[in-house]
Amino acid sequence: MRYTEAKMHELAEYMLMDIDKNTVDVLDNFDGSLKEPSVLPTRIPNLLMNGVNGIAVGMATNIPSHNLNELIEGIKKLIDNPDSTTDDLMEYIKGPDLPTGGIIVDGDKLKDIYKTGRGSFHIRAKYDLEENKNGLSIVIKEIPYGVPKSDLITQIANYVTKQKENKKDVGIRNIRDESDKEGIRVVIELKKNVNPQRIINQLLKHTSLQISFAVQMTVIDKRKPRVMNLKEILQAFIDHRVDVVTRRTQFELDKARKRSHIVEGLMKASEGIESVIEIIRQSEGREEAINSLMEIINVTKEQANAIVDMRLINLSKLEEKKLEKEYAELTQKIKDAMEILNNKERLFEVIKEELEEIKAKFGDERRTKITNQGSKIEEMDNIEEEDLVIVLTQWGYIKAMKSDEYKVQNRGGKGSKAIKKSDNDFIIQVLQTNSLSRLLFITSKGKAFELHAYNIEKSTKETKGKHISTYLYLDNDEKIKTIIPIENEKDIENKYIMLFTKNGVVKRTSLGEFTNIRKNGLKAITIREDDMVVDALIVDENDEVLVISKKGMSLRFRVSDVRVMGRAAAGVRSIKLRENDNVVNAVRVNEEKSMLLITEYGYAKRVNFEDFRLQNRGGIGLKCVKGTSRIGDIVKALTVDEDSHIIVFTKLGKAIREEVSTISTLSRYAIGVRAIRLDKEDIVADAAVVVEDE
Amino acid sequence: MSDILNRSFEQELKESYLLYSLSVITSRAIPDVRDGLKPVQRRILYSMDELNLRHTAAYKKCARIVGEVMGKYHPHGDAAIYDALVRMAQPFSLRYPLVIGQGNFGSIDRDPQLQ
Repeated sequence: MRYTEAKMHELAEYMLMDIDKNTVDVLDNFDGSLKEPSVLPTRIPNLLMNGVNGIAVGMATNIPSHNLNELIEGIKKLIDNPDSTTDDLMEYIKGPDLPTGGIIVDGDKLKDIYKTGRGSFHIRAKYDLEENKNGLSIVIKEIPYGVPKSDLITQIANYVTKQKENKKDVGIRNIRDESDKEGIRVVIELKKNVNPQRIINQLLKHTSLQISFAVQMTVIDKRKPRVMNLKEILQAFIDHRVDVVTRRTQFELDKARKRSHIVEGLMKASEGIESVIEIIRQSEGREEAINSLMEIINVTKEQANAIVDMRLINLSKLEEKKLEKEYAELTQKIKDAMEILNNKERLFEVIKEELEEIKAKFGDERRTKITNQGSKIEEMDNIEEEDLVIVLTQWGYIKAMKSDEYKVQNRGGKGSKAIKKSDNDFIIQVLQTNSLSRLLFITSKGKAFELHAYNIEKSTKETKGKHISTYLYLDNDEKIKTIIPIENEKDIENKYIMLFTKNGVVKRTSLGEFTNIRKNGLKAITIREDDMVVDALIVDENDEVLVISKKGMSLRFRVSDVRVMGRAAAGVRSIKLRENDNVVNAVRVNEEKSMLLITEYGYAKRVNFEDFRLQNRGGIGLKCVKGTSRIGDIVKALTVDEDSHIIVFTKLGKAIREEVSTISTLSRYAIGVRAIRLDKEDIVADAAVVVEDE
Repeated sequence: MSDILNRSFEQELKESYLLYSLSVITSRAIPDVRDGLKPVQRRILYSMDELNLRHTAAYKKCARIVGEVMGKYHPHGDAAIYDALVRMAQPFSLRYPLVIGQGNFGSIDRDPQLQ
């Protein structure tokens, strides 16, 4: 304090304005020798504008700062409508606005905080990715409020060192502080071939790059401490303004009245100036002059006092006019003051005008961005990049296994299984993928969900895993039709997802449209009430697909025959179905393999893909069996190898396993052989290719 | 020395601490809902107003301000008053600073202000 100097900011002057007009109560200072204000007559909503942090005994307060423009709009709203709800006020007051900017990531929590006066939100640093000849860098441009920048840099460096001790490489090459008077700029240079998002997530989690701000709006209200909510605080400010403006107006009114009284006396005196002079000349002294004036020209003591103090120059014509002008002004002033004091509307108008003035003078743009992305950081940093095998069963159980464990089992030979066979549940899909890959789930209701592979609980071969609904918000009757692993986002370029519905609709959408899917899923197709997705395939532009119906019709067509449509589109016709016929499923044509058809009554056959001629989409198609009356409806078409095994699920809950090699390859018209032995009354419900066992 | 009262230690501590905590709450750490100021901040601004330190005026040594506040209204340490004054001038601490500082008023790197 020896070397530094200071003065008030203009804003502070608006907090002290009118302090000498009896606007606030004063208190004795510590020794009773001086008076000090108990509160400032502030025109500025300083409490919420600048926020406050303080720790007392047994209670603490922590209020974030806000944007002045937003606060003033909110206050005006509350003046106009005292019944405004928190929601109404939040139309204007969007949330805290911190001096250091940053991003509030859980904007959805603010409403509760404003309602109760307590709660917490998270502030995240603002950063960009920049690339130059040395590679990628994370550049931090705004840091969370209250975090010293140097501490943040130390934390990041310490984290990198600590990870190195644990033999882990964070992927940071160098950190440089390039901040200058233009603003903050902390450059974190990254090593080659690292995932920047993963590094950012680690830093958000382990350093103050993201912090939590615990709000507790404890304030002194009417000399008692208590927690107040947004509306109460704004109302307290309005009440204070009402109080201050009323007292100021009363003060000015009194002053104007006093002066007006004097001016009246002076005017009276100059009217009869000759007699005034006469009276004064006749008087013995001041006392007598005053008394005589009061008696003779009928003025009060204050007026008589002013008259005897009058200077001769006041008798000039000009000065006389001045008096008249002053009197008129005072009369107007009194009238205005009376109006403010007697009319609440007018009082509020004055308050609002003064707020408008402050807004125009000091209002500025909001610095802190508010989003709803959530504070939870994907725990990618704890995820070792490793190969996983994801297993999905018929009844919707899913689990992940380390891929080496899975291989050992396979080699081990006899009876090792990837999953515990209980309740006749069998694996319908097995994926070899990476722990960091993104899995896309397509459901029977035409929705898409996503889940990162590392989120799926890792388990051993004995357990059956967890039901898929623990991870995804599925409807009760909604089933996963297929899982698509995406290891590298670049892989999905030029790939399409093709959806087939029961009623013969097909739709092709770019896989790239299925990114950033929220927890409750994304619509992949607009589907009719009575329709459902029966199959989903990942295809290239040059692929061909074969659609099979339950009454034995089939249609092979090119993927390019179905134009690419947006996510929400409804699709086009795949095959023209006869009455009572439905699409069973579809397979991607692979002429190195063959197709296996299986029917309700347990008949099965293999057919070569070459037997199906390429046709145009939307036609009736070709028969793939002569008729279905004797063998039952087709249940499933599968793509199989010579050494594949299949699992057949029956309606009564049995699972029967069959080697494909025992099922003969026949012509397109053949009805096939009775391949599955069924109990009386039982029929085949579904079938799948066995993907794990030896 | 005739004014010695016998009191239980427990009772005396209880009452004194309660008084102390009330005083901390109402006259130190918690702001008034109306002007959002803690007593020390209010006293600084009021003193600056009395010293005519408007934004159009010339700067004055912080020592003058601190001395005024401490001598007249705030019977506490000068360092506490100076820290409160400095904070009101830091654009990274207050969204809308109330004081304009001239000299080293600290930085977002937690460098200390000049003493």
